[in-house]
Amino acid sequence: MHEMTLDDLLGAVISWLPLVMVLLSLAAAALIFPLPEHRGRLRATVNLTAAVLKVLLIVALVPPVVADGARPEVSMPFLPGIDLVLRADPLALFFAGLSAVLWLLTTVYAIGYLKDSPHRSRFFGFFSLCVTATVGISFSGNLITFLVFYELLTVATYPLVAHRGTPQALHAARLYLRYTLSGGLAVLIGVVWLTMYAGPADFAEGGAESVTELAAASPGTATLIFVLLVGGLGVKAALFPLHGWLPQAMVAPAPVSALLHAVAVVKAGVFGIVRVVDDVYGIEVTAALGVLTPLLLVASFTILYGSYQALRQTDLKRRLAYSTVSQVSYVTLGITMMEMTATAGGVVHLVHQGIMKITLFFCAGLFAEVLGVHRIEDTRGLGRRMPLTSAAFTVGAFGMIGLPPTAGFISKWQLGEGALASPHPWVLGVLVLSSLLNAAYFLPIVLRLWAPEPVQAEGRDRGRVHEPAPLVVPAMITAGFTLLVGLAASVPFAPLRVAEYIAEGVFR
Amino acid sequence: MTLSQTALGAVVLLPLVASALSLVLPPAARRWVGVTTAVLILLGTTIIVAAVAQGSVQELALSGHAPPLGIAMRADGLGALFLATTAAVGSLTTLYAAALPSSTGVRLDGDVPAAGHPGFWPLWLGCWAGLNAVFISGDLFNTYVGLELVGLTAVGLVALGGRDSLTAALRYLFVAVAGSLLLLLGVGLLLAVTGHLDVLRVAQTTSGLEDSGPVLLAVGLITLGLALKTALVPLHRWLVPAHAGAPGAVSPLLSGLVIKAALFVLLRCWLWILPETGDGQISGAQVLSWTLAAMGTAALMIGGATALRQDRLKPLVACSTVAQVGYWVLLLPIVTDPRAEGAVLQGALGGTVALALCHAVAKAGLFLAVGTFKEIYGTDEISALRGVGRDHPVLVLSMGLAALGLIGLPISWGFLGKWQLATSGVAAGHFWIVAVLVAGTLLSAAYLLRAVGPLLVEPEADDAARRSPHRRLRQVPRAALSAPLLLGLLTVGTGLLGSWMDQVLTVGVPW
Repeated sequence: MHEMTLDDLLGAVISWLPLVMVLLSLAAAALIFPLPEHRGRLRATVNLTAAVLKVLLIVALVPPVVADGARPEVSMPFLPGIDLVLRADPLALFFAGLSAVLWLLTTVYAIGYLKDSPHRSRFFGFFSLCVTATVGISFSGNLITFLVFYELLTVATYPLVAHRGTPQALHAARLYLRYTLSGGLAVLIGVVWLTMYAGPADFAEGGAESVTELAAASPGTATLIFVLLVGGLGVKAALFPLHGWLPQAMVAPAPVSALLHAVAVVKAGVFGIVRVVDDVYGIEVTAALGVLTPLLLVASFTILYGSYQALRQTDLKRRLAYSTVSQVSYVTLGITMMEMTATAGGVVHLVHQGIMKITLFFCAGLFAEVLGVHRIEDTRGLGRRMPLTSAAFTVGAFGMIGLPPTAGFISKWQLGEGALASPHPWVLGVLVLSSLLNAAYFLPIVLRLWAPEPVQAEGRDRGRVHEPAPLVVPAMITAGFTLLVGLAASVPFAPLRVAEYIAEGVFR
Repeated sequence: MTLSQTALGAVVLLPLVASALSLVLPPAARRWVGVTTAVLILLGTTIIVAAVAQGSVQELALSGHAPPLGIAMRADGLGALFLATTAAVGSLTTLYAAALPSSTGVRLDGDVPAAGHPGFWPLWLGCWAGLNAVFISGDLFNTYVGLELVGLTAVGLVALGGRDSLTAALRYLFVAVAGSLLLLLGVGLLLAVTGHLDVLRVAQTTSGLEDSGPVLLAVGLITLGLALKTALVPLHRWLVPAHAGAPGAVSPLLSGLVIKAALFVLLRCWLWILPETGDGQISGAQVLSWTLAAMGTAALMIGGATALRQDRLKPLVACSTVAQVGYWVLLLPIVTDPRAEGAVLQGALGGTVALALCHAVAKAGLFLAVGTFKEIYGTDEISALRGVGRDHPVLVLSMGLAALGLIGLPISWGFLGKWQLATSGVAAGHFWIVAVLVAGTLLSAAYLLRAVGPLLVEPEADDAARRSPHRRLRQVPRAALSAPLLLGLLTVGTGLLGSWMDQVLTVGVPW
């Protein structure tokens, strides 16, 4: 009897955790905004405390949700007949875990990166708002809740892209807002329409029942709504031809780029696509409507197009940006192949792409901050001058190419295996071609980094330079993760294991 | 008499008495009358809203005579929500005006009195009495009187802008009087046809009439008058100079509250008084409703496009009001659609009320913030204010929060409004509403970004314009800064109250 009540209490506490996590980040934002500029230490304490607490809470949620099948949930009335629902399911935890861990590291990096620069309270305030939105997105239990946080993310990232305040930054921010607001409106229309016909569709493994009924009764409408939803989400997910904002947004400070590319914005887009395909429509219904293959084709094309564009760039950050366009579409590719191994590969790439890409951006930021290197041709010989950074970059680049034993290898292996078993074996060709392109644009940088220095600039000091710890340590940690999740992919609760568990749910 | 009945009388009588009282007090003491009145109105409004939220319409028969002989004051869900929003916006603007008296007006000789313009408090408190009277009046003649009081005091408030505002004020006077006359004509016609002035009794009688022609004519006249007063395109020319030229503490009252009184009466007439149209025939009411919806759509486009072309903040914000008025008449074709059922009407009304009241809160906040910039720097030219956001993060934050509501992004009251209006439009088969809402949203995002964006931009490092513009005002009192911020937070916070407000709104609906 006594044990029962304790369990009940524990259950009640756990069910509130999703809301607690959203509020935690919101509280951090509310505390940071009014802080005076010079209270750097206090600001860092608030930031890091919230970030660490969040990681701990997510770690605490993993065993009950993944092993015991619990689904902690909070809901509150929002509109007549519609609730805001926050629920922790494995996919939610997967995304929330990624964002929590990378956020902690990005915060450390950003504190070091923005040392002594103006407007730090504003920056970290909006930074925390972005976390709030991302946590909300990951725990959203239905489309309306998702939409609310998705739009919050749009609004909160605008000041970050515009942070530098230069005309170029402002132009990029305006372009970003134009793209994402239009995308958000498309999603809104889709959600309104779907809600009218099928009610507030709760995310459910295998798809929401009411949506299945709608698809059976009027497939035309269901298809149109699907196109609106995925088309809108495709803007943030940078699907071709909706990717135009991403390379422009490169003018933002390095931590923001890391955030846009690896954790928050593009991830929110693909995460939304995964939710719509797997948990709103359900994979069977999506396939029956005939929209899965076109999406697969768009994803394939985006992968190749992004790589091709990356190859043409001479600016390091721009090359990384186009590489993101390409790499993020692996997720869409995986979930549209209609095959369980491929789905697991797509889902796990949510995390793998995140840790690899954030490593690369951390390093690009370091090169730019420490030595003012922006162009790829200037990276020659940096391996000797900034060995730790260059090593981390190399690991990230190998991951992107998909060399063993990195995280990227695991993703590509899964996707390739899935492609062969799926109705679309030609996708393997896309993967091979894309890997070749990846190698073509990453290997030259790696070779340059470790090549001997150019002879000409003799008078200057070409020795090893100091790599600031707050910047280089996060980069080394994520590089370490890139190797670790590749080596230990079959350990219980490793990303791949959880992704496989999620994929099983999709095909249940 | 119950507590809420006392409160019903008090929210009209108190500001009226305070208005008269402030006339005889020295200017410096007037603001204390204003602040005290605001606190008491907040209290009374809370009592009324709490009682209505319990689910019953609150009614007070004046001097104990019930209609049809006497006159009733009546607060239903619709009235309660308008009353509550007015109390919130009114008291925060009162706080601002009391904390920053220089924002209350300019003398005709161009002098800014340190203790505030002596005309502000009597005019504003009188206006507040009129607003509350409109929202809780159960009787059409009282509605007219209230609206007249609002209109005339508002003209006076516009004139506080000094010599430059006199033309705008005069023009506004003509509009207000013409609008009121049309309203009076319509009310007289309704009295002649139905023999009643009490809204509920008029509504009962009109639904039984054989020939709805005269009622339609009356509603048409009233609508035209109210369209003038709300500045519905193409009757909007007066609004921008009047609202943009008014003093800092006045513009939010005009844009946020004054035009809402006319909108309130419009909703009352269309949803309560206009009889239902039969199936299978195109009625005059339908033609009228479609005409108004077309005007609303035009307002959104024209107002938005004009706002995009502005170089100064206050006219930009005023143009945005012209645009947003368009949202509030989009529901009319649904109202006259014989297929529309109670649930759809409820959604359309809920959406419209949310959009209008969100506009009240957000626009007041935006005007206060913009007005504060004008107080500090003596100009509201966007190019001159480039980068000042660095020194005034709170003001820019307030503007951003208000912009969220005006664009209609989640979480905000405006998002709820768009959602409800869009869903009821789709449910009633009026898909065009979604298209209009989308276009309006994109335009409003564009012009608001044009207002907020440049304040955040740093001037270029080597530019000679790096120095900040000259500051006229060294220090803005904290209390004055808190008013726009609280309004901004309210814009967002009310976005979580959707279910509750929808419940309140069902109290006393005619379906």
